Amino acid sequence: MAHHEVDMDQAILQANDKLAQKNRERFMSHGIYVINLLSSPGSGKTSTILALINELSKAYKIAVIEGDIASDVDAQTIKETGTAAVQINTGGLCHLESKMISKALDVLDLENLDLIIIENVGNLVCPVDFDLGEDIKAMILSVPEGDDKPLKYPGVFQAADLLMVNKIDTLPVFDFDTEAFDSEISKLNPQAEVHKISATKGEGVKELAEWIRNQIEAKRA
Amino acid sequence: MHEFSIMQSVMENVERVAKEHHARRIEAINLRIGDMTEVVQDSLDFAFEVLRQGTLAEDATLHVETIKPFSECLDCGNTFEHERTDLRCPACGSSITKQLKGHELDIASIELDIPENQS
Repeated sequence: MAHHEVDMDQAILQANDKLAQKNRERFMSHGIYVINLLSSPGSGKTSTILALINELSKAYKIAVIEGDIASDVDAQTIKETGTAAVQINTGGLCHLESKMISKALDVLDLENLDLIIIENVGNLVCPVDFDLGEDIKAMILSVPEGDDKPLKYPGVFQAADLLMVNKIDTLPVFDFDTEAFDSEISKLNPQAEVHKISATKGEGVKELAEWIRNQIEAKRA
Repeated sequence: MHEFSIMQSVMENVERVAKEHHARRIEAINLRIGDMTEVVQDSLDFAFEVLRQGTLAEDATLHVETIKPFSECLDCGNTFEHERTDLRCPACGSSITKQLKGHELDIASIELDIPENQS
């Protein structure tokens, strides 16, 4: 028998990354801006998406790709606003992968879309390592979850280009140290765009929509 | 949790290469994983224990080289190794930095037992 070392130097997630790149090219060819939205369950991803649809749907055609373990509750909620939504049920997988997005794109009218928001499975860990072909990763932390989440889950806070702190209307009720949070983010992810909002009450939503509008326009230019 | 997906990808890739080389067994799998990823060694080991059963890698050893984060400051040009929790330049304090290392999720190499008449 002979022992041989064979160099591979290969990305483990090569298959996912290749498909993600194909997705990226599809988005580019149709001029669509894509946000991969991460957070824990209950932080307000769907509410934030609804608030953004309210602000942006007059000027832009939006579609939402919903990722959940089970149920199509979220996709139905989005559809009720007249916005196209595709539900992906992972059946137990804790994150979305690019192959699932690729299939979802086949049922969307890409020719007539400006913005796609992918609501990833509610999870602060697994989705981080999986490229879906998006322009940016965005992350929502809600005030009731606590200001120490960046310390406990640095990865998701670092992966996000856009960080939203939601439910700021509840600041008087919870012990959320905004200074400590801001300080931690300045070390973990100093280049992140940070927006503090209340998706349901409206605070900060216009400014957030404006920032996204600028990104959509910049991609088209 | 997602270490299972990751380990499944590893197994697919290494088995394909092992078969291309007509290997009898895979003796070792050498991975390179950056500190900035969300991969946990224990979970990876556990996933490997489960997934290697009945494959060419049944008796293989899994080695993981961890890569420390390494960045370049775009303001002063300093390059520096750092912990995942602080990305700022230690020389000038700038937050405008570019990450050069630390996000690896790679199969570096595999070690194969190839019968003499096949190599």
